[in-house]
Amino acid sequence: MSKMDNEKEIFLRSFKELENQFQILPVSETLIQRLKALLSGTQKIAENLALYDPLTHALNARAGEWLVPSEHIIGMAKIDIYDLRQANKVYGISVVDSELHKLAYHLMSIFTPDKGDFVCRSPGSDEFRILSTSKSPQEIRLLLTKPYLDQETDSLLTWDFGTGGTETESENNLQKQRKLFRPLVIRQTFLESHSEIPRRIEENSTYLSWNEFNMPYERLVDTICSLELPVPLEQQTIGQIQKVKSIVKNIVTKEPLTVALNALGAKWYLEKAVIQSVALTDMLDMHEGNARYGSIAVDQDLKRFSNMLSEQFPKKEGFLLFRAERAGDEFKIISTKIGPTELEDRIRTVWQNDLQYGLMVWNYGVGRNDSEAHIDLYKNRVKEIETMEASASNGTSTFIIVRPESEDYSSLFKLSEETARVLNGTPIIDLHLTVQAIRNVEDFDALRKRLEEYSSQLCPFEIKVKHVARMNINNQQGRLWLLAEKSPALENMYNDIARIAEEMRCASYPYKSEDWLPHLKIVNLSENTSTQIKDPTFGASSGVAFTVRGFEWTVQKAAERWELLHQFSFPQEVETP
Amino acid sequence: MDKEEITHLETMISLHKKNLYILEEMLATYGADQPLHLVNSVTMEKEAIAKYSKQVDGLSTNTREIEKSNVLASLPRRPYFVGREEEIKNILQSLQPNSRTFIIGIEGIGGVGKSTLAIEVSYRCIENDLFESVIWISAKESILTLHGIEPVIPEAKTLSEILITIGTSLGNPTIGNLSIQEQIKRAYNLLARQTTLLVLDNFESLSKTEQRDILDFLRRSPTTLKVAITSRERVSEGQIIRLQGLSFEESHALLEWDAQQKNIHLTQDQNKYLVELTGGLPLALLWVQGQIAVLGYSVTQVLDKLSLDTDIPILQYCFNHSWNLLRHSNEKKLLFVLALQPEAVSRVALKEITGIEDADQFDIGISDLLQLSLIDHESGKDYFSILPLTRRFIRTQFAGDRKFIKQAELKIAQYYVKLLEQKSGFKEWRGYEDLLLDRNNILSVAQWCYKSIQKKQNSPTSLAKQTRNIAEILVQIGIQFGSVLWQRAYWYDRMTLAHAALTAAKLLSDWKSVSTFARNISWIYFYQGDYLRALHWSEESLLATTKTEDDLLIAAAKRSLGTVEMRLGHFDRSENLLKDVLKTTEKYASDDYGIYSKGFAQYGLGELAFERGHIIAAKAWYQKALDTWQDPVRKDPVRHISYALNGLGFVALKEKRYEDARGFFMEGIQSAEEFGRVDELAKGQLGLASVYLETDTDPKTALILINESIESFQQQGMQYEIQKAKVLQEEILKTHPQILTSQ
Repeated sequence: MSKMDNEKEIFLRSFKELENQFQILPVSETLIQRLKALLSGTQKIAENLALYDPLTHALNARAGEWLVPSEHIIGMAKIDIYDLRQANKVYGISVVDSELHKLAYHLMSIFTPDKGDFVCRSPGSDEFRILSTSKSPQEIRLLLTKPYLDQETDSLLTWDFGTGGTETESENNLQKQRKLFRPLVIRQTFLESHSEIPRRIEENSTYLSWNEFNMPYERLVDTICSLELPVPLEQQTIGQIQKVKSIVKNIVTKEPLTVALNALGAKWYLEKAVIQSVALTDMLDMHEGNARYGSIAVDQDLKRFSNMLSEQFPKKEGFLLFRAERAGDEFKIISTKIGPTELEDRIRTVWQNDLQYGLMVWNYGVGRNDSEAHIDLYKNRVKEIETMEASASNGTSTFIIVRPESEDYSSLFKLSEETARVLNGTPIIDLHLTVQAIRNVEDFDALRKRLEEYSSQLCPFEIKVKHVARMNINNQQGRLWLLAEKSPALENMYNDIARIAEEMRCASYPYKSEDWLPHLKIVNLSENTSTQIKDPTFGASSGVAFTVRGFEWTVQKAAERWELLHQFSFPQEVETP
Repeated sequence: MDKEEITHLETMISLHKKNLYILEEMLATYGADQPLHLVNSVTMEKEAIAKYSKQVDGLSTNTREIEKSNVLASLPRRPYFVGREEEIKNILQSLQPNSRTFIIGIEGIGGVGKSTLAIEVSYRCIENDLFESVIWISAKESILTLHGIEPVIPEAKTLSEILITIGTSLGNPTIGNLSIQEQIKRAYNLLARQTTLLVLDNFESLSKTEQRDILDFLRRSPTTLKVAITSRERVSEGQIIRLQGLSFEESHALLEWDAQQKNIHLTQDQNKYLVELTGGLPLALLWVQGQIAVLGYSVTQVLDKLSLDTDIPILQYCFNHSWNLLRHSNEKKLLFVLALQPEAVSRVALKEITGIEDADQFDIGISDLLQLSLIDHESGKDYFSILPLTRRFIRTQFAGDRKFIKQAELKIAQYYVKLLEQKSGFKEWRGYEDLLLDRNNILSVAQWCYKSIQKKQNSPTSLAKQTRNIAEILVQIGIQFGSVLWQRAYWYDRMTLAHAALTAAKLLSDWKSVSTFARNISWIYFYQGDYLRALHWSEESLLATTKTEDDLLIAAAKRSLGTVEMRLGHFDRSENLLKDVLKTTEKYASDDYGIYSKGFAQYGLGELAFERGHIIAAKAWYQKALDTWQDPVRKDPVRHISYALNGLGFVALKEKRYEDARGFFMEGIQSAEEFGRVDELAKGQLGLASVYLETDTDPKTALILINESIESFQQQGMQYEIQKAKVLQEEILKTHPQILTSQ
């Protein structure tokens, strides 16, 4: 059972139990009905808080999980706002918010739950999703065509969409449309890629206040008290009400993807908190990361990251962890107990220890308040970039890799996660298969052009992975590999790139394709894992396949650090609305 | 029947009174020794008079109550009523017998509360015995229910039906058997016998012919009749009461009452939002709460529906009738132009953008719309506005004339660019307030421009003519309005505008403007204490100038870079840059921008010296800046001097020359106030508070000043100054804790 199902069950059960408790109270049926009516109203408010994006009133990610079983989805669409950060800067946050609300309403009036269609958006996201249990991707596309064309006159925002039967298909179609109609967004500096821009002093009041949230529960308690029940029964019932409130509070203040608190949590927890210090974290290459690893892998990494932060900065020690409302890659840690110096020491250690684990590199800034922490964050990022630029000059070893996308990634990561759990190892989030190495590169531009030309001749192909092998290389920490079956497409690519490397006077892997062992690294084993793994095939014996639609060219920057140089997509047919 | 009885009793009373007088006269002749039979007779007469008087009283009260209840029966139910006291006062005055007004027209858009007001007036007339009878006749053909617009059978559609209702109400139910001329005569006859208030509700639902016939009938009616007409159209007779939405307080009271009735709860914020959205239109307010209470929608669902749905019945119900009455395209054009802009629009703008050249035609159009209550005139500034709900309705009609809308969007942009050319010049700063009346309209034009240039260009080298044109407009607005926003401390707006305009400037490869906008952004970040971002943007600005050869532009970029470097602690680089700027600007001694820049270079050097602790040098630089800005060549001794005065103030404070410091800050505040510089005003307040605190003269005023300055700094997001001011605030509270208790 997933985390979401659990959450939903706990939520629903708590209300059901309270209703049962009301049922056994020694009072008239009319009074019981009144209590039940109050409870049902309270549950409705709680559901709204748990399942809706407060800004646009679309369903949030949690609602997608609670309300729409994935096996019933027959068509979906991804609607992506073009360059939302720039829109925020140019129009101002409040105007963009109202435009997002307008777009959501428009979509929700076309796709309605009574017809089995759901419009979802995660707070802060620049993307809407339509999940349909009644319409095919083609039908969804037809319905979206008119608003897509009308956006020229109806909206200040610019958006594109892609439909499909799966996440990947929708994403691919979206990207095709995007490339066709919009100029590529290039962020020139890290400063401008950061979401936080100065905003007007007035805060929006989209969120329910803590007092307003409490009101219906207090009403229930007051009603119970007025019934003159026997003291133990009264206490028990009130206790049950408080339990429901606490469950609801925990769910609605939690950001659905990670364990961090959301904006509602920020409003409630920070209203009266005395903040001693603030730390902000930011992924260095989130924008690129999404394009490179796919959103599912990035989400996975964010979950890992958030879990790690919440373990290192626990609530019981006076820390609160928030995920930024407008940019999913930013987290905020607030301490009500320790000052900035102490917090900085602590987060530096955490940062050092985490360097090797995540998909994306992250950085942090600490201060007495948000503003100071921001400035510190930028200073650290300036340093980071300077270091990167210095080391980049030495990187001449490059690699060609392919990776699973979206759903393929999900199933493979699940395998990696389960295997890691059995072995007490760490799942590897950056799942990829290295096809070739091109070393001693001098003319990067020429090589890029050559690879571009090469990629334009390739077609998408499938890679099947089946067996798991344990590898210990050079006495390093052990790893598990998922071995890929060699196919003509994969072998040709290995050989073709070796030839290209030779043409460009570079070196490639020294061995022949016959000796090549294509694989994806899936688990880092803990150091004390012995060799007594009995079933080396684990769950993979039936085999998993994934489709390759492009390859990446990366450069090695340090012993365990590679950076993306370029992504090459294979030609595909273009879907237009 | 009662009347006869009362007459009889009154005769009896007068007979007994007569007897009583005779008996009293007889008794008087006996002096003190009065015969008992006479005394008894007097008592009996008095009792008889009292008895009959009591009976008369009883009978007349009954009659009044029965009469009242007859009248009440014909009136609609009296709903909860709030506000409109001024209108009610006016109407009741006009309904007094001595008033010459005999027709009162209550006008307004659908749902504004015309009928409710008429009902309330009717009830108050009855309560005050203003009329012997009140006749209510409704021509309403449809009502808005929670499910949509539903037809109803009107009570009367013709003059004859109205006459029959009058006859029935006044005791002559067979009037309908007569010819129309006879009906009219009989009706006049009946109306002449008693004072009557006739209310004709939803007059606009009647055909024009019927309306004319009815008005003809009314004009010749006896003076005992007064008429109240409610209509969505103009009523060409009598006194006009034009209704607008309820005030916020009135709306709030109505919502509270209704919520209580329906057992629902809206938060304060939701109530506020609802009132803003509907402009206090009572029907819309009640409709929303009805949807929640009866149909079970959530509050957010209904508010979303009201604010975003283009196809809700309430829009049609309130506006369709009025819209359909607009026969001339001029009126529609006026509405389109108003709906295209977020705020009220000036008369001049409306005239120019709609292209209605003939002044009479324009006035007729405006007057028609005012009569239909579709627009509102803000007479003080001669601007026209529409309610948010009206705007939403009009926007649903855009599809009917896309061509005009497209043209109008461009014309709006062109109009404001022209206006900015006339009014945003740096010498025109005294008139900036006027320009700022159009702030949101101008910013909305900038947004439209930005959206319009977003499309992917077919050719990266050549821009389409239209795109170029719009990009140029955006750059113009960015430069001209940006400067106004900056000087009046609308920093957030300037930031968004600069970002938009920067995109346009890049598209045009207009490097001067790219540099200017990057510099604008840098300054805002600088003032907000975000020095790293400020540094980035000032470097961008300098980089862009490398593609130009404009000395003063290069100097401006260097000045912003130099100032940012100072805050980052890079004093030497800062000094080099600022001195470089000074050298350049000295070459432009007769150029206003040159003088302006020179003053700021000197001021910047003053700030740098102050930051380094070189107080004497700082003083000299500030003084130079002051002299430069007051240069008679410039003919503008006020605009920037508050910077230098505040600088001199802080120097004097450091040197403990408190009287001088006080003088500088006072003068600084005065000039900042005069020019409208919120940030410098707050800095002056901060300085003055420091003087009061250090001299321990007036800690209370010091605290007030510091609190005000913190508020201003917070509004502008000036982190550096907020920190400084908060330190001072803490110090005041620490040294004078009693202030808090005394406050």
